[in-house]
Amino acid sequence: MKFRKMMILLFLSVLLTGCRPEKNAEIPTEPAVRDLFAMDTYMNLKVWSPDGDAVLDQSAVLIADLEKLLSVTNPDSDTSRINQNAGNFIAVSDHTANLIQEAVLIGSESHGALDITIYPVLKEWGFTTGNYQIPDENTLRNLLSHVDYTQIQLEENQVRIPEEFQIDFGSLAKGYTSDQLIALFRNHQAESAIVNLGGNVQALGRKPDGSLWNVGIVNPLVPEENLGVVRIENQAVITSGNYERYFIGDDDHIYWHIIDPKDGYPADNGLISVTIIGESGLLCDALSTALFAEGTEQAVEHYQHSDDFEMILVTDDGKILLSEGMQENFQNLSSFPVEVIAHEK
Amino acid sequence: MLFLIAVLIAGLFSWFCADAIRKKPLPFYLIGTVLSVIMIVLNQTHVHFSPFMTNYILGLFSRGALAAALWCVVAWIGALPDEAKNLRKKLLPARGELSIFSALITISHAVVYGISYCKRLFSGHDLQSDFVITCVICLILMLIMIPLTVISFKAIRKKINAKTWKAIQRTAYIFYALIYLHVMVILIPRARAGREGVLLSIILYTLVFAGYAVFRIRKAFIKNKKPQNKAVLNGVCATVLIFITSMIGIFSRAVESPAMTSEIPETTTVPVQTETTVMTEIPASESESVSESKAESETESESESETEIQTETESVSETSSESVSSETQISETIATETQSSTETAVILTETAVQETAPPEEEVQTPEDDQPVQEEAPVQEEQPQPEEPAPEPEPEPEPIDNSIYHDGVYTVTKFGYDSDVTIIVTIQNDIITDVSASCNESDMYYFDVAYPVLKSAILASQSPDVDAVSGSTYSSDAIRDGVREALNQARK
Repeated sequence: MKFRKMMILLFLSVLLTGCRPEKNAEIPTEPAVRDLFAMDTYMNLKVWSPDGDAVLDQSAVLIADLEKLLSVTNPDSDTSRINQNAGNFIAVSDHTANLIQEAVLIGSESHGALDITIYPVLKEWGFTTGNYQIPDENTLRNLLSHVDYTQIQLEENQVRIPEEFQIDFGSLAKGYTSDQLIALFRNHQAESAIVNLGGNVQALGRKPDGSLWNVGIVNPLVPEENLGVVRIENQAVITSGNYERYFIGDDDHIYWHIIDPKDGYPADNGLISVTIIGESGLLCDALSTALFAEGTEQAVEHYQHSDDFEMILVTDDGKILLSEGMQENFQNLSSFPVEVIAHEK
Repeated sequence: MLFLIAVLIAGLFSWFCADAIRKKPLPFYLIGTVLSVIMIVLNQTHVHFSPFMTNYILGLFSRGALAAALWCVVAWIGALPDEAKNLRKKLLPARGELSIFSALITISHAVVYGISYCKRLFSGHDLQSDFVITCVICLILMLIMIPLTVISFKAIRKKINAKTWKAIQRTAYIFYALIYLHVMVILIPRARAGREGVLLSIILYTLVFAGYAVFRIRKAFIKNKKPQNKAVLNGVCATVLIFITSMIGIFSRAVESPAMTSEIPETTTVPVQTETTVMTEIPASESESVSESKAESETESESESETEIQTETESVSETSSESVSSETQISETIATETQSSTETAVILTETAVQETAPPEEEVQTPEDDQPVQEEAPVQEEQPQPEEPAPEPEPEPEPIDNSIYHDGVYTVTKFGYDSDVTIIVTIQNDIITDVSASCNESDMYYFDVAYPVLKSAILASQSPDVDAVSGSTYSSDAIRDGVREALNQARK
């Protein structure tokens, strides 16, 4: 009996393996998957493409290239060259020029809540190195006099920042990278893909079975748990929370890494987590930081005057503010009450 | 290494202090208690010591190496053959006192780990089965040790009927077996992850514990049966000991293929099996004196085969004539052989996709054969070195262009104030598991920093969600550990 069973098994396995090459010509049933470590974070890529692993190889190259270009710690990056030559025009790549243009645009839309020239202040707090400290007021005031995104000059691919200014793309780079990855997947005829770059999620299309993607959102009060699940297609879901990089000062106060460019202190304007859902990863990444800094009222107002994103805010008094466009596709798993925010009519 | 030092210390201590501890036990108990308390306090105060101090002085106590070694001495005293008259005469009378002293030293280990285990247990995070198993074993160990120690005090012992007392003391055998199991549950996954020096520890522990089991059974056998020819008996004992040690050694060899990077539950069950074979095999083999010599010669060749297997797999993977190698493998149908051939299949797929189909099918056949084959050899007592190798899971399909070598990677990074060890399991280019451990002093910092990254990494395999939005930020040590593991795995 056992022998017969085995023969059947063998036969089946031959059949199955025999079938595979034909299917390979189209979209495979199993995704190509890869974990990477880049841009100082853990990344997971999953794509259903006829080109399978070749797409992932190209993705890895793309990510490495963008990191080389944008990293503030790499002395040869565009970012470092701009910072080292503050006061002079510097030729940069298209990617960098694109990013700066977008950053300045979102900066003005958020009334300066997103400011890529905040880097010297971040550094002073130690959020870039892990050597945390509370800066004294004078130092902060002095540093803040060199923080102003409107001072960035961009002429074609030439960039100039004023002397003693410094920029970094920490609040945009991952969102921009996921946009580029999704575009790459599209070029490879992929119809389904999902990437997670250190907590920045972006999806291409729907799942292969036609259903929407389920993306969990970290609960800011219990980071190991999900606040809820959003269902998306062709969108990015990007969250900024006060639980990411923080330290507890000698005064027992918690200081986190999202700095309010107005006063140079961690943004403490009523929000502890901001999730932005939209088609552009770059926009979502930038807005998640910007709205966090703006605070509850301004963030709601910002939403009401825009039409290119949806949001899920968590306030420090334990409420979820859900934008109306997400009502259908958000499942609350937490005990927080939900309040729906509508666009202004 | 630590255990070797501990055994030396414990042995010397027992030899030189046996008389003293028997005559005046109280000062020794006091010293033992004070030492234990000092070690617990030092561990809890988060003082930073030199690596030598943490590893060899504190570690001797808090990691339980000295405790284990002392228990070995106590156990071995009971198994010493009658031929070792002088040793017996000197040590046997002090056995009770030595065991109480051992229990006192054990307290430092139990308390230090008990605290961190409780924290981890009640936090509810990361309750992997190996951790839960360890907790259960430790609990049983404590439940046996405490009453046995209490009734070992002379005053209490006198109040109990001698026969009852002896019967209760028999649970000590379970205690010894569980110590060994406890050590193996912790060491084997690390050895398989390729950590340096762990294999040596495993072999050492096995020699000491299995040696004890063999000698104890030999003694009982001589007492009951009074055999004429002790030479045969000694031969059997030596054979069994070599056999067990080499089995464990081969089993816990560092592995790289995906199938061998088995989950911890699998590895934990195996020591149990080998333990029981210790008990059953001796009566079986002694009746068949013919098979002994065979077994002996085979086990000898086996201890050598450990290195041979490695070279074999290498050479097989190098040969490009895939049809020839896979044919011969079918006739041999040995587990590691099939594994090495899966490796070749994977390597071959890289170069030519179409060629892979036939060898891959053939490889699956011997895999399917496995369960049928394995039933028999276990009883046949034919030492197959490959036996303990966990069954390779039938892989759905080989990944064509994976960029990482599958396997378990171990990285040690300096954390808040001591080393953090991160173990990353990579399979088909994704991290299927990440676990981290640290020295005792780092425990608090570690409890806070570790779960965030772990849940983020494993979210990509969650059945409920496709991804999780929100930071994966964790401690630098753990994050860098994962990064380095991926770098190591890169082809």
